[in-house]
Amino acid sequence: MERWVNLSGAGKSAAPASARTAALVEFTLPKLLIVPALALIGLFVVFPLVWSVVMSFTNYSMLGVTARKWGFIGLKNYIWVLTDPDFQAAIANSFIFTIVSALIGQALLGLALAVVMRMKGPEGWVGAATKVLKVIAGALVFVAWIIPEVVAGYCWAAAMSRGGLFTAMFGINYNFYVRHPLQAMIIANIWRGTAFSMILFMAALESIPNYIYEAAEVDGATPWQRFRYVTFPLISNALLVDFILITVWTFGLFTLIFTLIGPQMDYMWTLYVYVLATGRMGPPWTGPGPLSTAAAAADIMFVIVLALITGYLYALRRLRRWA
Amino acid sequence: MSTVRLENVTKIFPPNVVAVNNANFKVEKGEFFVLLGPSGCGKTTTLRMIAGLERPTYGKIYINEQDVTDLPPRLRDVAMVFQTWALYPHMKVYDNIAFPLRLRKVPRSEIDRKVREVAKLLRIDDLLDRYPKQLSGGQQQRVALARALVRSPRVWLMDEPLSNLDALLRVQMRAELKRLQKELKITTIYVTHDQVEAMSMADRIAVMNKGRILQIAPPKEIYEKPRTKFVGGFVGTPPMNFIPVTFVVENDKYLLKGEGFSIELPKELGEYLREKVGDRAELDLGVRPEHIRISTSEEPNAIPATVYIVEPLGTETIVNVKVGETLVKIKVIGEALFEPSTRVWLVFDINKIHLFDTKTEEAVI
Repeated sequence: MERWVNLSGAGKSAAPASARTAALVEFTLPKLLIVPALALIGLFVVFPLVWSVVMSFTNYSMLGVTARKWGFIGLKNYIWVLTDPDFQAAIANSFIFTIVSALIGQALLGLALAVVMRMKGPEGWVGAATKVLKVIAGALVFVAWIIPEVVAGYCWAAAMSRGGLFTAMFGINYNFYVRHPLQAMIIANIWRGTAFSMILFMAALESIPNYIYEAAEVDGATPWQRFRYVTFPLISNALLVDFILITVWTFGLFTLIFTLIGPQMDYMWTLYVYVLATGRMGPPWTGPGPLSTAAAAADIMFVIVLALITGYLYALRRLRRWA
Repeated sequence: MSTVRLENVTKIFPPNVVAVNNANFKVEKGEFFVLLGPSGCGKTTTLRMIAGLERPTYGKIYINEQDVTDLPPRLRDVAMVFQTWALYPHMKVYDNIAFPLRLRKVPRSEIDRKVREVAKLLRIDDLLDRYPKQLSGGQQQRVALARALVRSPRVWLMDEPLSNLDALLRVQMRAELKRLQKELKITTIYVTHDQVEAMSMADRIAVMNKGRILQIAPPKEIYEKPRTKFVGGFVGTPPMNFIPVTFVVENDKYLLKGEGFSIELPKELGEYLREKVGDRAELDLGVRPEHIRISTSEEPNAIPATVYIVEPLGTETIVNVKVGETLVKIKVIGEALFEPSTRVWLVFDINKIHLFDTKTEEAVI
């Protein structure tokens, strides 16, 4: 009798134990598994961000006395950067470059291409021909996205040189990228980046079921109204993601700029290039390689990009609402 | 009030699927016209062609005698309830219903009045602030219905608009919809596979099967004079019973001979039949469950049968019996208690039997 009781008692305590293991696996383990990723993000994202903010208020530099004996100097770096005519020019360049090449060029062209790609062609051989054209066009756009930036940069430099493609096509008998570096960069960046937006929008459009358009058509919507009230709101999230990514990328573009207009970069500085350049030549209070001044410039750029993204969020939310 | 006319309309989906085969009909002003048929019979395709979402391969479609075959949907002034509901996922219920009115630049106050009115009718007035994904299937379907009903177009097109409602709500909505249609007198083409819905709502029914329209007639006529075996079998619950028989003329008697029985036809009917099919013919005897009487003793002209199973339904009872190898359903008002395997005799209401040619499946009488 005693043994029976003991046995059943053992059984009872065994069940909660296995339940505890299950809970551990189900709830605690996942949290533990995040830890390595969090540690890496902390080390390579959070720490540099915080350190760059701290550094921007010091006279820290890569070499020289201030590399070892640095101290806080207040807003001096910020004032130096903001009053630098080169910095002001870089801001203007960055804004024009991003708005024209990324937002208008890549995103708008990508959206237009995605819409065209998804359109139903007519029946018969015309439809078949359009289908083939679509595949070819899609492939060409995509190739621009896969080609390494260095190759793309030098190709464009060749095309825009005197005697190159631009001379043959438009009769431009000078080095286009030398005289018009901003325009050259805009063309190259649109060419290169449109594929990303196109693919993103194609995926977004694909997720809208066709019968919703049919309903809108029967409800009496014109093609424009179908885009404005059905397509646009339904892809606005993709639009936001696209805007954020291409803004960040275009602001941080370097390789394409360096390879295409490298020697002329002094005339076409973007913010990012300015930040990099400032790391070499800075104000007199820091030593060679004035990292602190560069950090101040980088932080300003960070705030600008953040403000832009906030602006997108706000604008899209307004547009999504009923007019 | 508008008319809709289809002239030799055929739709072939590539490579060679004939969805609709030479449809011809005219829907009159203010008529409630039902396209009835099993799934895949082409009724939805017919509706989509009238809406302008599909282009007929051959033939023409007229609304108010105006050729609309090549007109895009938005210029046809029709409203449609989709089988898939097709609600706008990014709009709240209110905006979904208001959408067609907003496109037409209807004043804000009028939109508000109309939306609330139709929402109340369909009992979704408490859901106006929700998004479609927050609703049940039945609720979403009523929103889709509301989006069509909120307008007064030339034609209402409805593709199974009540299929997802629960049984009770469906019966209620059926009545509401019919009343609204009669009140506003908007020409309506309604697609369903539910013959009860068709019978209860339609002014006329077109029964379709395999892309062909088999019969167009008022519900009563469809029920009483089915032109083909398919129509007879599709309309009515439980469906019409079919028993294979042979029509023979013996010593001036007109007989329907089946497995283990023989029915003598009245002279008039027999002579008529002889004129149509000759002295001998293979036929299918069709008789509705409510036109059979069960007798426990042998009677002249009665068919011997064995009780298979009894299904009591409350006000009526369905008695399943076997005549030879054929299962026959009989509707008995009230209670009918038969033990399985009981021997019974079936007496047919001879004026209400149908005979179909076994080969062509067309009605002989």
